[in-house]
Amino acid sequence: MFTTLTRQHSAVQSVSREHFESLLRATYRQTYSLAYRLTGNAAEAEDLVQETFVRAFRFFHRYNEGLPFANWLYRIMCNAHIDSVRRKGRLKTTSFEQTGPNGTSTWELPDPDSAPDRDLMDSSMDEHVQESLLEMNTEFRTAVLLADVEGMAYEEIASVMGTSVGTVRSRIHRGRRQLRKLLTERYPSMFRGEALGL
Amino acid sequence: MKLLGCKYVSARLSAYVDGELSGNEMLSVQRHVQRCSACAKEIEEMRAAKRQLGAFPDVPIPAGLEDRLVESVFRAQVRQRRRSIIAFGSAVVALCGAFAVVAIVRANQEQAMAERQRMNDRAFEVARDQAYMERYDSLDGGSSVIAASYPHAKASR
Repeated sequence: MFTTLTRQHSAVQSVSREHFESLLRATYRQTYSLAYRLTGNAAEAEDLVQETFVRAFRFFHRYNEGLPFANWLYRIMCNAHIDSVRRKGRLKTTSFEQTGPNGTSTWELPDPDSAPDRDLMDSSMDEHVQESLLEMNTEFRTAVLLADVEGMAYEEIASVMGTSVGTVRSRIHRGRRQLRKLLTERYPSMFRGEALGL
Repeated sequence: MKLLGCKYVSARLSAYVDGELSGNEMLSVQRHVQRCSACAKEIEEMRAAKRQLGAFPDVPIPAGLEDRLVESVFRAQVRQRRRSIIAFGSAVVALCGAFAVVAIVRANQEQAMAERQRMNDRAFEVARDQAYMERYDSLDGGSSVIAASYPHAKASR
């Protein structure tokens, strides 16, 4: 009886495993992107994504297929990120890291449709925005990234962050305000003109 | 300069910018912002932040990330399963050990009980013999000591 049970268990296990693997392959890029914006460097981003998928697989039996997998995954990731920040203290404010994990510097070939010739000004602006993001309160950073980079609706963000729409509204508002304050204080020449639409 | 309603409007400015307000709320905010330069400026700040974040380029994906993730997820699962098997096996061994201990203790107890039973029987026999001897030693017909007997045996006079 024991061997029959374990064989049945393994059969169920391998179906879940296949299913999970295909979901992982379909969502790892967007998940990594968000992780990168949350942490600011490739090594931490990869750790966060790995932790997220490991946790997700462990609790895969609890995933409700009615919800989009990415949303469920993001919820796990946001919690993992908050836990990590609490454990490590503030995030290190390294500038745009050009190397990948293990000191490698290989990347997948970029999408040819994305602007390959961003000028220096643009890329340093991105760096400044990324640096400022890392200085922000964790919940504020998460809320503005989900709204303005992931383009999620407030209701979706509320379910990802496990809070109310009112709280999401407040976090996005205060997050954007905090981001603007950090940018205009540090790089007035670069960012003040922007607000006035110059 | 703050107008009446700035507090109400201020809390709704981000939602206004994101189109997350109901129709009536949107109109209220719009009407206020037309008259209030402070809130109008705040809206511009919200929009600028939204624009800056939206302008982020795609994050470059490290080569080999996909396979590394698959491997680490299922390696973790195998490790977890191995740990569960070891835990289960240990529990079985512990249970068997517990049963063995109980069996040994029970055997000892039975032995002790048997020993006690034997001692009781011996004591009984000694007492009975003594009683018997008393009866036949007395010269005056003896005190009629009824010989003790095993509970199941007939009493002898």
